[in-house]
Amino acid sequence: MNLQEKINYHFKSFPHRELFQEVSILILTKDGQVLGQLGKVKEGAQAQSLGALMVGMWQASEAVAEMIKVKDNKDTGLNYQDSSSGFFLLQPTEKNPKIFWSFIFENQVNPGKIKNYARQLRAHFNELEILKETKSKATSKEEFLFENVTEEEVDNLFSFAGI
Amino acid sequence: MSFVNHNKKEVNCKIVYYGPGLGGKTTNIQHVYKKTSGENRGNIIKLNNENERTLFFDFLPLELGEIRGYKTRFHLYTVPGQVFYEASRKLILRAVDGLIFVADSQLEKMDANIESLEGLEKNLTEQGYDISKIPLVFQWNKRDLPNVTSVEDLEQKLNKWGSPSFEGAAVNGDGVFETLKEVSKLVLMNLKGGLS
Ligand SMILES: Nc1nc2c(ncn2[C@@H]2O[C@H](COP(=O)(O)OP(=O)(O)OP(=O)(O)O)[C@@H](O)[C@H]2O)c(=O)[nH]1
Ligand SMILES: [Mg+2]
Repeated sequence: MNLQEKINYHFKSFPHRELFQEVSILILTKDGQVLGQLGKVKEGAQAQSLGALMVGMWQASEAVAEMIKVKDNKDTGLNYQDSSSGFFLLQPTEKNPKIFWSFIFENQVNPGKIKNYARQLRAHFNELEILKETKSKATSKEEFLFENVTEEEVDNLFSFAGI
Repeated sequence: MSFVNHNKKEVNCKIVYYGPGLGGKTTNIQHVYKKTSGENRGNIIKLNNENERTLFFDFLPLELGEIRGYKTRFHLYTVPGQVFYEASRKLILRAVDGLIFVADSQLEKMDANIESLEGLEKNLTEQGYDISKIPLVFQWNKRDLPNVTSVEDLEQKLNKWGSPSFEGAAVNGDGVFETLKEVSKLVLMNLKGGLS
């Protein structure tokens, strides 16, 4: 199972999953890469753009907080919504120190409920530790991945994008 | 930071366009966006003010082909060049894998180029990077204009590390891909994470 499949699988065992039917969830690294996702956000460019913006927003807010010395309560969230739609971000916790959870919701009668259960959902994944595992794997080896990349290989990469 | 996913056989890298205000950073990634086609075309996101000046960043996710079995994805960012956006530039530089310094070749812009480059060095140092070790490519932009500094002068004043450099006229698309391909190559060769 790859990470996305694991995420789908573990989501199935979350007791309150029906609450999240109309919610898209992006699991992001600190620099905005999408590790996995749930819900209807299209995989690929759309998810990546959302990830980059969400984390950019987070970093900007954090920089503001630092300047005005807001006390860090260790589990801050970031929020943008009207009465029924919007999104919020949960920051990394000690258990999963490098991962942001972002939740995008629409047409909710009670968005507050989603927020309450979002932390539970995150904790559900924390216990399973599936997100930690890939993290260490990604940075474990020190040698170079590709050596002597040729002009031709680079041209190939770009020709695929129609360039 | 680059992210190598061995399960999915994917590499993700972050490339940042840096340089003085109005130098042509946004124009560069706008050109890349225009030329990308098909399913691999990501959305360009421009966070700018009403005068098209970048306010926070531009972002373009680029889905490229495969290299040695790994699917490659580059995230292109531009910083806002105006002097008072220093705090934003610092944020965008976080976890950068490769840099394109877009210099404005116009004679009167030399000081702005120097100031921007000094800022870059300082911001990188603060984050524990060494500018001489990070993949960096220079673009001498706006070569189409009449009153430009000679390439030799630009090299001598700005390119202290002997990094690869290209002349450009980003408005016409000239030099845009040469620069991007070069930094892509350097970034890929710099990727750690070994095959598991
Ligand atoms: N003549 C000429 N004009 C250019 C060239 N590249 C960009 N420009 C113009 O220069 C102006 C500024 O370009 P941008 O790409 O917005 O500059 P920027 O570096 O993103 O500026 P900031 O967002 O303020 O940092 C625009 O009017 C461009 O059309 C070039 O190669 N030649
Ligand atoms: Mg710009």
